[in-house]
Amino acid sequence: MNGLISRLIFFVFLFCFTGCNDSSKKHIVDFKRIISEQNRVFTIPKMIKDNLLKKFPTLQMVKKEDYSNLFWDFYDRSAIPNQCYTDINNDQILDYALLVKDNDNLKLIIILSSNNDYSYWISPFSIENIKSDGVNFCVSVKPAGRTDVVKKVPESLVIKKNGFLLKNLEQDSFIFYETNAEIMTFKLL
Amino acid sequence: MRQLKYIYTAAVFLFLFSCKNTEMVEDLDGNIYHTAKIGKQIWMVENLKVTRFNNGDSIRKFKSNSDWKHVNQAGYSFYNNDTVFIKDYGFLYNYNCLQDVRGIAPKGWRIPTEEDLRELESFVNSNSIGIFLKEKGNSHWLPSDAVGNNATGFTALPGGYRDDEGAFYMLRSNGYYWSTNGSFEFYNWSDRMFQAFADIRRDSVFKRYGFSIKCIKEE
Repeated sequence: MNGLISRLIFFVFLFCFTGCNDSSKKHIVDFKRIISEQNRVFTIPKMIKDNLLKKFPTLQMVKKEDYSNLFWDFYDRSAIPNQCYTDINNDQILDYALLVKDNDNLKLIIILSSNNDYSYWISPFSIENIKSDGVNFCVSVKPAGRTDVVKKVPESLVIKKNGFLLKNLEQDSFIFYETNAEIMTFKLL
Repeated sequence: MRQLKYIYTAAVFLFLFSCKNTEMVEDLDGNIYHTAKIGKQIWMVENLKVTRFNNGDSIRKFKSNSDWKHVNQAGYSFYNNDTVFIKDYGFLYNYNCLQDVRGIAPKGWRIPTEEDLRELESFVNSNSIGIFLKEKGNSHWLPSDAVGNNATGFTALPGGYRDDEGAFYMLRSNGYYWSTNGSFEFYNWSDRMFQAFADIRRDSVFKRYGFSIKCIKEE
């Protein structure tokens, strides 16, 4: 009887051993493709925007309703075209870019964060003279990498850190990037 | 009776070790990596941090920028030459490590190819593939509205990179992994996976860059 039980246990082990090996080879493992809405709610903190407006009271944030109808023919209404964020100076802290109105001029503000302190850079030129039909520019992240453009002569820009990309509708127009603690501009058109 | 005991013992060991191999893989240094089965593929969960080739030869560690830049050999480093980053992000390897015939991936594993990435994309089948491949939450990634949920178990991390001059960039915001022909990337702000940064067929300078490695199991 003992011998029978022993053999039975032995074969159970063998069965488990074989089954265990095969399980990883034959089955396709799937997963649920669900994205929580909570993943989609991060924006530039209000405190940072409020501080910016206190510091520059004549500036106005560009809002979604300031965009032209033509712009929304190109982009989904859920897009946030007037602001974005990434680390552009390699300090592992988020930096921010915001489109603002300076009277009728569209400008870009870059907010460089360092712990709880912020420094501000405002584009020294007008990106667009805002007309009655609305804003056509949006800002997004330009990841580290190489950009080649052909103007009168071919030009290349290699950025080692992330930067910000400004587009006129879907046309790339400017790259703003940080190097040696200065914000540089690369014109793409 | 004694023979039976030996057989039981052997069976128990075989059972335990065979199960372990389906869920984990060990490198030559004794580092243990979990695995994630995604469709038909099996990927390493943690980034590679082995210091030896499969024949036991040491892989050179390049600490100084000068060595990293000038020595044309297989080599690795870790972010900012700071050991605190090894546990989470593993090592940054140069391309010579991938090409070395002594092999850097554990036996039975290899560096992913472009076809592997296509298969991964095809299986996940979502424009937001990055959400499903990035580590869950923000414990390593900078905050964003494209937070990973790691539904696949792939666990992409923002380990940054080392450039050809030896400088380190973009920890916590960008994750770069080697494929056999270049890099594939993940960004904190994006819900996608990219293959736009390094293509060694287009520009051999990228062979001198350091990226993370996530191996895939051979079929």
